[in-house]
Amino acid sequence: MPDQPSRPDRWPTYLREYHAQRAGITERLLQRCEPNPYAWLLEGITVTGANVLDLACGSAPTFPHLPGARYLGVDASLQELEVAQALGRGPVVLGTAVTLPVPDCWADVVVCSMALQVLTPLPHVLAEVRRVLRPSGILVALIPVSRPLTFADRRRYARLLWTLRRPRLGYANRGLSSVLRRDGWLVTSQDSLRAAYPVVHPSDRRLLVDGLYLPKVPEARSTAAAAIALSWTGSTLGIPLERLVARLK
Amino acid sequence: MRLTVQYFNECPNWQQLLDRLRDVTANRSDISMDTQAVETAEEAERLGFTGSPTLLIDGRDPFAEPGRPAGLACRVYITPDGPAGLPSRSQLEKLLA
Repeated sequence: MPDQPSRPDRWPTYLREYHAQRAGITERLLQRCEPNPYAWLLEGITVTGANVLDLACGSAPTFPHLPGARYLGVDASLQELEVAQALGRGPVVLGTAVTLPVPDCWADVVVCSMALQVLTPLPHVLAEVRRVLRPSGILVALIPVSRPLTFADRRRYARLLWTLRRPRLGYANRGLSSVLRRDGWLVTSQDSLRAAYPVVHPSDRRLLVDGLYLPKVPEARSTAAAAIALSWTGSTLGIPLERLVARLK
Repeated sequence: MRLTVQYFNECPNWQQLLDRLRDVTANRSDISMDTQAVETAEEAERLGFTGSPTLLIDGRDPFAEPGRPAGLACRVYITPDGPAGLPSRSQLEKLLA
């Protein structure tokens, strides 16, 4: 299990190890949800003929939802990129969010799915996004949040966190919409979604727990957390997500 | 004509470039090909390596971008089909014609 990234500058190491061990896991988790979070993220975004940079693309799950775009995925994990390539998605290249391998003002759209909350140092990442975006370009981000959830979801998360001995699911970056506004972005839309994750098989429970960033949680606790989800079989657990669309002022 | 593919190990595209070059240069006895791994930032600096994969034709980078810094990084090629992690087949065919 990777060490706990107690400081933001330790997140890159944690993420590298996490994704090397579990390449493609975020997509495996979210693609089982209803509605499909990737389709939801990109609905209404016009990309035909546009240069689209998928920042921290992972296994490139957004690729099928960007028809007609000139797509380029960038991720710091070779293992994630290998999954993307095996699925025929791309082009993808290895790179970090603070040194994107594209020219200034290249992108019409920067997509960032389930990553902006952990990319560090965030001011440098946003500066790099600003550099590669055209003046009229937009940033479209999918991030995990704490709402909306049903009452039953809340009870289940409370039990899950108690079993994991975690007060909450913490990330390196919080309050991203406010951060973007302070950084000079105009947030043009901010929507939330309860993506329903179906719990059917034992493997669904394990995938749910393994799909969380849980630094320094012992394996026994993760296993115990997956086990408590036994009683959820046949129902769904809500995964609260937010879609942010922002452009430069 | 001598082709050299420079790369670093974690690059997801250098093997593809090698395969594409082998394909494009099949039956070309006038072309030889080799590879060169670049393993450290210092080495990248010394070689003027600006990204993986890099193709050298007789020691010259036909896709060189002035001002691009040397370093251990991936490289993006602007092809007729859009951005890519390696040059397109048609770009290579044109260069090696």
